[in-house]
Amino acid sequence: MGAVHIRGVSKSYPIYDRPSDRLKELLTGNRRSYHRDYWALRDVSIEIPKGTTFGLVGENGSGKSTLLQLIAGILPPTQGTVAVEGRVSALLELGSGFNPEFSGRDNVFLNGAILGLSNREIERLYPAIASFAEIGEFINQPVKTYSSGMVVRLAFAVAITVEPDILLVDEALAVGDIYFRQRCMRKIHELHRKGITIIFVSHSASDVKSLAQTVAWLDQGRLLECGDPDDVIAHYLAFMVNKDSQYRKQSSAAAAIETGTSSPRVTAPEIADRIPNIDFRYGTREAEILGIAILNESGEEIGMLPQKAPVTVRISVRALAPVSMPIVGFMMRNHLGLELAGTNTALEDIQLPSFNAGDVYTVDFHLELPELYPAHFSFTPAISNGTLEAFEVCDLIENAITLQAEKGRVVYGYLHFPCKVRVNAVAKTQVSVAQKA
Amino acid sequence: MQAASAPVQIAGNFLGNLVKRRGLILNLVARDFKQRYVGSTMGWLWAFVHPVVLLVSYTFVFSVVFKVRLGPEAGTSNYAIFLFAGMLPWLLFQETVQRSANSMVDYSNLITKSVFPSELIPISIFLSNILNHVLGMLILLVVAASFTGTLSAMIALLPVYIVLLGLFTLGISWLVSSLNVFLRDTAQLLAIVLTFWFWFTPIFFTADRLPERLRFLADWNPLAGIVTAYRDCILLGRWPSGADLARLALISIATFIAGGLFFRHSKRAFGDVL
Repeated sequence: MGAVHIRGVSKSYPIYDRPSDRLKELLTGNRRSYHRDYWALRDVSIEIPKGTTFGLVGENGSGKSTLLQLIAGILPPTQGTVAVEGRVSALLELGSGFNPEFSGRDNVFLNGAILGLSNREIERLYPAIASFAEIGEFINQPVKTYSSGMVVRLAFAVAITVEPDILLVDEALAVGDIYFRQRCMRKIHELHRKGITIIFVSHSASDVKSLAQTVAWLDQGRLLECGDPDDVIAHYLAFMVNKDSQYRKQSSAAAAIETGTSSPRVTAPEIADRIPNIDFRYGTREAEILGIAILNESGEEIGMLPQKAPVTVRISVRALAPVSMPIVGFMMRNHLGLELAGTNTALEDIQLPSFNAGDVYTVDFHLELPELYPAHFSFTPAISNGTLEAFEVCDLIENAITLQAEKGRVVYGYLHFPCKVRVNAVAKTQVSVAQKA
Repeated sequence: MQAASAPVQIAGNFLGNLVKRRGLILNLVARDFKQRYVGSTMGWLWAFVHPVVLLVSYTFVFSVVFKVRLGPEAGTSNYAIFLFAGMLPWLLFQETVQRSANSMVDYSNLITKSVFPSELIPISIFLSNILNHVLGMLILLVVAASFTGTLSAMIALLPVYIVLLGLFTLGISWLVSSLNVFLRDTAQLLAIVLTFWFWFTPIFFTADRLPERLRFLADWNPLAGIVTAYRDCILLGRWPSGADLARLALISIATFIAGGLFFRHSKRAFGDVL
């Protein structure tokens, strides 16, 4: 019990122009085709032995979630076979399988019944579920009154307490707070020790490294690599960075202004022309952000934030209308949305020239990063018109790029100040200790 | 999937699943029943109020205002009771089919995000409606008994008809619920079909009032057979016709199997469509 055998599995989604075409095809017994095929997975074979903690990485749309759904038995494979030994408990999407009108307790019983438990078994497990979820009196309130964190806590509590042979987790951990994530991590380690097979999807390289014994990397529905987490993650991150830089085009029209020098000067013809993520975007659009990139000392894009190393935040902008007093800057937030640090050209005493419509500028911010808690950090770039006191936002992109900080030594709080410790003893011998932080 | 050619195995799997998943079915029924009365102070007592209101209204319109008198073939001179006996099985059928039609869409997050035996949803809807049906039936029996002074032993046959009605209703429910996944117009179309079906079923009249050339409407309509049998058992206290029962059983079982197979076939695509 607990092993998963995936042999030559492909999954295609038929794309229909009209819903009724699908019915026509079903009724005519697939004699005539009314669709085009989209291949979410192509010829994937993976053997997952019992008791393995197995990580899945890959870009959005690479087929990770589809693979989990196939393992869960929700979707049938188009080709190949998926053989699963034992009971599967799946945590596929936040609060899926919960009816918002019903109380947490009722939903626990329904979910347990779906997983094939009898009422008596659920009755027995219920105290454990309620205590792991830690939502107190809310357990008797309708789920619609829950915060998203409470929903995921309850869903996770059910999924792990029903004693599955195989546990599937699809990015669910990203929702909880640090405290809950840590408990989940501990619980996953504990389930692993009990010999439960765990298959999870994560975008966090450090989560995958710390949990998984084997990692599979999917790209555009194909299995690129499967094996040791350190190797696969390293290749995956390198690939992502490389792919990213292919996006960048050389543009002679771009001018780069380096901060930190007294007079703006043109250096590299490179522009950042990719915006990896847009949570929210606003502004007058007199100028727009073309892209943002985080580079290392050698000017290569990086996939993780290093500890105590120089990095460059590169922001490229284009004026769509004349901008008389442009200010370019960014804000860095942690994974909880807390604004950690930020700066802009005006704050650094750099006066950008007035932009004419069509001008493209690239601003590089050279930062010396402190030691950071190994969490996700996002950068929100912005271009404004005006002064520090009075300005109008031309374009601002919330959390345009997110990077994971590398794991360093223990950091208390969010960051570690560069620190020198001096100990003075006023006794017979004077001892002075200088310790580099 | 490979066993598609072995009907016995399909039936065995289905029945085995019913037994294995009885906890889930009970849970769904309780959920469905509660959902209707969730938040109301009187709770399930509303299930008792609705049929009483129906019966009182019928009495007012047909017995007080119109003063409708029925012949001996109806089994009772009270039109309200006659009508109520016909309405009960129809309502069970109509509510189940209508609510099943949208049920796959309603449960889409369970169907697409967990391994969910979706064929159980129409079953749970039917079972939940049965509770209402039994309440209505009790009211009918009490009223009919107090009106006529006796109660026929024939009511012992009613469970047979409820089972046949259940098979037929489930067959239709599976059909419309899976069709509605692919074509959302199904639910709309169904409302129209059900309206016609209602008026062409001998609920407001007795089947023998149909002209000879329209008699097939009653003969091949399982609902007509059920309604007539209900009245035979409760009001007339006579044995329903054996030939009618055989035909009714045949159609019901055939519909049940056909609907079930259609659902089983189309179910595979639910995850992709919902």
